[in-house]
Amino acid sequence: MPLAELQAQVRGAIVDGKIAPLAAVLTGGRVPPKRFAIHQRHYEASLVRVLIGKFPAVVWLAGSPFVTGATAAFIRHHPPCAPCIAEYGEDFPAYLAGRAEAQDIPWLRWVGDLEWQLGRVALALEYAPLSIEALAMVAPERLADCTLTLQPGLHYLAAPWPVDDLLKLFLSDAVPESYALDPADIFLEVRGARGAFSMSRLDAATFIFRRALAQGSSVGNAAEQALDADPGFDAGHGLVQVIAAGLATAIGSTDKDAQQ
Amino acid sequence: MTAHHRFVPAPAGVGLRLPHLAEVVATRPAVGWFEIHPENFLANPHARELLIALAGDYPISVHSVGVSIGSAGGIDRAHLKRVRELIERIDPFLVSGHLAWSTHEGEYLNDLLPLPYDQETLQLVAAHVDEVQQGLGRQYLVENPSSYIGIATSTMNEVEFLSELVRRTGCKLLCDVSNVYLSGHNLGYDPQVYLDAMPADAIGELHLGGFLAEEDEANPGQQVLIDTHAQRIAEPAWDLYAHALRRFGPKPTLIEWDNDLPTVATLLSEAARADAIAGATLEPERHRAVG
Repeated sequence: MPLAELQAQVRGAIVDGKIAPLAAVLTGGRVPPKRFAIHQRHYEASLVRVLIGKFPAVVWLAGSPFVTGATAAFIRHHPPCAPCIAEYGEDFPAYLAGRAEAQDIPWLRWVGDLEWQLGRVALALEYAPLSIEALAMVAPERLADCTLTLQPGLHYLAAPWPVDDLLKLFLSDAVPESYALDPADIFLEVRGARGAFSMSRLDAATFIFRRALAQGSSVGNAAEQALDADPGFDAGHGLVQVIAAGLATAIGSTDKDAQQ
Repeated sequence: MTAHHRFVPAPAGVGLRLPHLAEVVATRPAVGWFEIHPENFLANPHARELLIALAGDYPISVHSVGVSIGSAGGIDRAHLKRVRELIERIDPFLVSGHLAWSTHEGEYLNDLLPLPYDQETLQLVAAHVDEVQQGLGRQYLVENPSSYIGIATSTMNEVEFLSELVRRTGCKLLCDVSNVYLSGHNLGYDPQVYLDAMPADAIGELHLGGFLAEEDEANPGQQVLIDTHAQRIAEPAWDLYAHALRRFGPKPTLIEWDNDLPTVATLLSEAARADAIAGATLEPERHRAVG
């Protein structure tokens, strides 16, 4: 059997549980497919452990049997695509939310997304922030064309549920007797570095402005997007706040004349 | 391709896993060297920053679990590039990986999967080792796998395969002594005969890891050994380590422990035991003149 065909069959046995096509070429013990089950169990157990470890708040809120069952299904439908397993699982919250058992937990996807981002930003580095003096050196007429490089440990997350409150509840290890969670649009700035993280609520226009900057929009374009959400948004003040909070590390320009 | 031997540490080393990183940075324990899995650090900029600082004080060995030199679809070149970028920052004294495959059509199966030992596989793996050595700009060490099954279409045994791989590529071998013991138990061969057949000149490193005995569903009433890296090294593996030292001479030896991690002190005690066995097995002069 050509190696490529053999490996396709091994993949099918591990991920899909289809051992029969492979059985004839295995050796080891009196019933070799039972030995092969060691590899099948390792695939499932190791990846389930990884995912459960990445989403402890989701497990806490939704229950271990449901989440463990969903992870086992997820790894069959969405195997990892790279060896850095720490990067595996970003799509799990959306998958989880699509499960029939999650239909009564509409906020679960957003808890998972927030938890994923908290885990990601906590591994990031934080670099020396851009100074207000560096910003002041940019000619005012060129400022709108400038772009900012933001800290790598930043993420902007909008959610239709106040899931930051649920995360805080989880992190405080507090279990209230009852808890009412009502839909509410929230706009979060998630920030972390070197093992620590924080989350802050922003108003909608500030959120849109900062998220646009994080996505590479020019200052002018980010301001336009924020003004669409709130005509009263003060872009100059918003920019100064970004610098003062140490969110930016470098300034560049989309203006070709300025780059020459 | 260059052999990067800044120096080869005589004492045993231990695996540096993320849960121990902060303690190691803070306490700087007395140990010969550390081995890292690059995959743990590539996705973690903070850990990478700490590792780069540690690399100034300790020799580092890089042991990849993701290059997948046995994949019929080719090695993961994007991953190899990331590994190279890390290597350029920490200048390890050894870089190694496994005689196994893990990736299939863009999927990573998170395991070290077995290969048939035949001419087709040998040609493919040799080409991939050449590519890895070219891509990393240094010699690569290939580790013998832990095995539960074999492939019936194999036309040579594992040692014959590894020996020919060395001859074709100029790579070195990482002899995992525990894997030799475990695979010999599981597949029914004599681990000492396996070690005696290995090309001694090609051995660049030794590994020792813990394994677990389970009921063997393929052989009711018997046990199969599982390569868990989650417990102390078993006595038969220590005995085989002494045999390996007599056969290969002193080599950098790693204590592998990846799951259910113990304290750093426990790892260091296992490393001290490896050093003691090396000291007792080899003449004192040879033990100092590691090379």
